[in-house]
Amino acid sequence: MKKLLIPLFALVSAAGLAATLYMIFYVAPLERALFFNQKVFYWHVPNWFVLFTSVFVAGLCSAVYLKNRNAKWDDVARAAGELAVVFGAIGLVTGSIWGKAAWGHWWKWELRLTTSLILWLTMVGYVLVRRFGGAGSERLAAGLAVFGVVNVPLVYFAVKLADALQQESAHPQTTVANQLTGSMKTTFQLSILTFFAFYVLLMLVRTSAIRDERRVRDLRERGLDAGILES
Amino acid sequence: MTKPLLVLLAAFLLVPLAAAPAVAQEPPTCRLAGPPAPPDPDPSKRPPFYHSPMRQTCEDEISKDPDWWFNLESRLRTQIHVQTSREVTTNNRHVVMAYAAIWIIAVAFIVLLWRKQVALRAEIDRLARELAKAEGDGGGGGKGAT
Repeated sequence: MKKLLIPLFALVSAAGLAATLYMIFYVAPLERALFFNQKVFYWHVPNWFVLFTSVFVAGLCSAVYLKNRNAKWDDVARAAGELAVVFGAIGLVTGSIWGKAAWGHWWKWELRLTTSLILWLTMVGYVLVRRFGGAGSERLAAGLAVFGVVNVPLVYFAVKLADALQQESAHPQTTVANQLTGSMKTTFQLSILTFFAFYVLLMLVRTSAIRDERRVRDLRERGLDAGILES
Repeated sequence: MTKPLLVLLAAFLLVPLAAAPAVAQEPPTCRLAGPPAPPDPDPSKRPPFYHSPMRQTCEDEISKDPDWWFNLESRLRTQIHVQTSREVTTNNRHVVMAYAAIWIIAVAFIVLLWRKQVALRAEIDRLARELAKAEGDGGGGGKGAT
């Protein structure tokens, strides 16, 4: 089944990427305030949706792993944690470029950007602990992943929170996406679907690779136990 | 499993070529609003005339600085506004930068995954072969792999 799923999602992702690019640059009209610069929005926002999903998956699977210590959940959590770092890097870089085009600043220490950076750094911490933490680090990393989940609503509602705290926020409200109409809305929805297909594909590939790594470790242990391999 | 990754990599590398003409095309420019309407000629409808006591002082100070008038006129010239609006509407540098950043990060990650996967497959095959060989020989070779 998985052998079929991976090529299927690869094809859907490739076709979706081509279709969304066509719609973004040839079909969707220019926005009246940001003109051409608004076209960053169509991939920037779905990228953040995928990041939030990835952090949720990592946190949820880590919580299940902490409860039942089944390595399968830990494999999924690890794959999701790594993807959260990749999508977070894309989100922060594209957001910074858009900020320069729209507000004239690469970075502002406002609530949304700061909480986003904290979320990304948390997931970078998760990956680093998994990579260099040694034996038993998976439980510590699982705790970090659960902490990352707590950050997600804070990032999402940061603009509303900034209003409540009477702080200045350069970001638009989260309702902006719901106000899109016509081909802008279709393009945005197609981008979301494409990004989720791409995310599922990367999750399948990465989880499978992590299981292969586990298999290599098991084979090495068998070889060492049998005295075939040297440590 | 490496084939789908190759398909995706090819798509990532080829698709930007399709978007290039769109980035190069000229977006429509803004049309500037006309000058403000002149004041109503009927004196009865005008608001009461007011002269600030500071006005003469300000005018005297401004007249000492000839560049001030020059700068003001330059700023107000229509062509300056047209040029500024054109810069806003035709600025595609940041869009190109953003999409290039997405492409570079995604392609780098896919290449990394692909190389890792190929190395893992080779390692699994090698270990499985050595184990099978050693088990076939009746165990205990003590050879080579780390």
